[in-house]
Amino acid sequence: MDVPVTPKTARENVLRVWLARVPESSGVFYAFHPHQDPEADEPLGEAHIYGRGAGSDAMERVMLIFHLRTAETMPQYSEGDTLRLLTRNKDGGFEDTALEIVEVE
Amino acid sequence: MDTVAKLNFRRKKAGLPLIRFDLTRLNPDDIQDLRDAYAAMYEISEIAVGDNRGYQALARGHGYDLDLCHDDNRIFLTWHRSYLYSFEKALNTALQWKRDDDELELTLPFWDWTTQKAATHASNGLPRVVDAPTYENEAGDTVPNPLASAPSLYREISQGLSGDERFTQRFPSSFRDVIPQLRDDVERHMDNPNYMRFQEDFDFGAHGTVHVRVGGLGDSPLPNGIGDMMSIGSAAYDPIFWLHHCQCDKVWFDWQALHPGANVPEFVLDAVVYDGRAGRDLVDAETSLRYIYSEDSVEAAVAATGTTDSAPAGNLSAAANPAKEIQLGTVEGGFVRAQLDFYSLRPPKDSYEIRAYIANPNCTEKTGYKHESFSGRLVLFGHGQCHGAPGHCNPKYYRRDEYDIRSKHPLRHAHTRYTIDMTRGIRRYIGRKKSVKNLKIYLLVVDGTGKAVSPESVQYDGCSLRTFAKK
Repeated sequence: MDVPVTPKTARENVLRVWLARVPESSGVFYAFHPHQDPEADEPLGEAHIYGRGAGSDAMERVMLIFHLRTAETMPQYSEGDTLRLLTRNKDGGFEDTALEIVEVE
Repeated sequence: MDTVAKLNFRRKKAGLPLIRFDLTRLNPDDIQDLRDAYAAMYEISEIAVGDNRGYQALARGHGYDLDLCHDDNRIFLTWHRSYLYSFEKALNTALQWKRDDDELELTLPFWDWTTQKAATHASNGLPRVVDAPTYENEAGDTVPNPLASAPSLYREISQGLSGDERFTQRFPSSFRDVIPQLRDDVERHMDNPNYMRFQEDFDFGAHGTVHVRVGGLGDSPLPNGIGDMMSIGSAAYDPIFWLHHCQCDKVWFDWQALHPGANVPEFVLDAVVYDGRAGRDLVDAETSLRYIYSEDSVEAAVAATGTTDSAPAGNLSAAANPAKEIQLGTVEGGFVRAQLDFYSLRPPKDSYEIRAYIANPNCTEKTGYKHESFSGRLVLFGHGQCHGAPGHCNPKYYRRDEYDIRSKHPLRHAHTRYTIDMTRGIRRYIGRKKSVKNLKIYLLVVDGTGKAVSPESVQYDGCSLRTFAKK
């Protein structure tokens, strides 16, 4: 899933993605620059989501917070660019993910 | 050497805040206290799952099946501070019960997940005292470690698991890798002067990361093979949950010291969180909840506390007055009301009637209400058989003070007044005299069938006559 680089993200190197509802499953999300190869390159950042668990009715909205790497070896990004959010599949590879995003900071 | 529980009891007597210590700096006796307290909470729940002192009663409040935690991310910090506080007090209550020692004030230690040391941590990054599945007890037997795993109501009821599968699991294989990141996260959070931004970043940053990485994925019967810490519904059943959240609370506590003027929004202050506490009563932990954190050793805190404890704690539940005969001394007439007050009368399980007779040592259930010596009665509506584990209905384990602001014991013996109106009976006995000396009354306890039973059937600390003069 693609998310835009906001002015705040470009300025602070922190990407905050708000989701409408805490998902059932926990997991780790990875942010990549479109020019990166997920299978070969280090991601720009990771975010952990602490899911509500099976059977829970929790409706809380939650945030994915990515502290983006800024080393010289990492691809540069700027306001208006898009970043790709991926998760790992069962085989350990990366796959796209669908999220109900309500706000990107 | 003092244990944490003994030290904190001394601090309480001296009016000082209790101290929460670093888990990895505790002494062996403190670790044993912690293990025994957790085990006692498990035991209470095994005997009576609904007993509110038990582990399951506390753990279910987080996610399954009450879902109290995650309905509003804006109160993450206050909600968990209150939740942790209630758990800590229940932990101490359980230890007092198990040791039959009410001079203990056990506090929760914090697990500082930003550090790992070879001397105290396992290779996966978790402290050894919580990671090892077993430990050697005083008798030299190898027994399960109560800090490593706990029975879970979520597993049992929601997931239909039994036997060994009732117990929580962790798969922290990737935890150690994130410790540097957690350290970096906390440093970053500390620099953030805005309360809400600090809270959000911390909640969805370091806090959530620990849950996900400690829970992990593995050979688990839970959906998607997760460890219990990895989802809100199951997390609080893992014993490490409380130590993790103690660290989270400490991060907030430390942040507050760095940003003393930070503005906490009104809705956070007004919001009522776990156990019915308002946010505004939780923000200042030292003043309102009477605890602080220390990264020092227990020995250092002992030295700093000094020896202010020379007076032992008073026993609030003094032995009940067994006397059926009550000597009231001289009683003067002219009152508009005379009543016999009972002190700390324990609400009985069964229903009883207490009948008061003046100067009639031979009274029986047949003496009845019409005898001239009858002067009043008190009917006690029994609360029924206890549905909890041993000690559940014993108010001794429910003392409340400024160091324990949990809800009062439901049998509030210390706050309910029981009296017998003896106005008419004593007036009749005094007659035209100005006063009578050495007035004796006899209390007869009668059960629901009308049969006289032992005076010990109803327990109280004492009683006294109170008269009210005309204005």
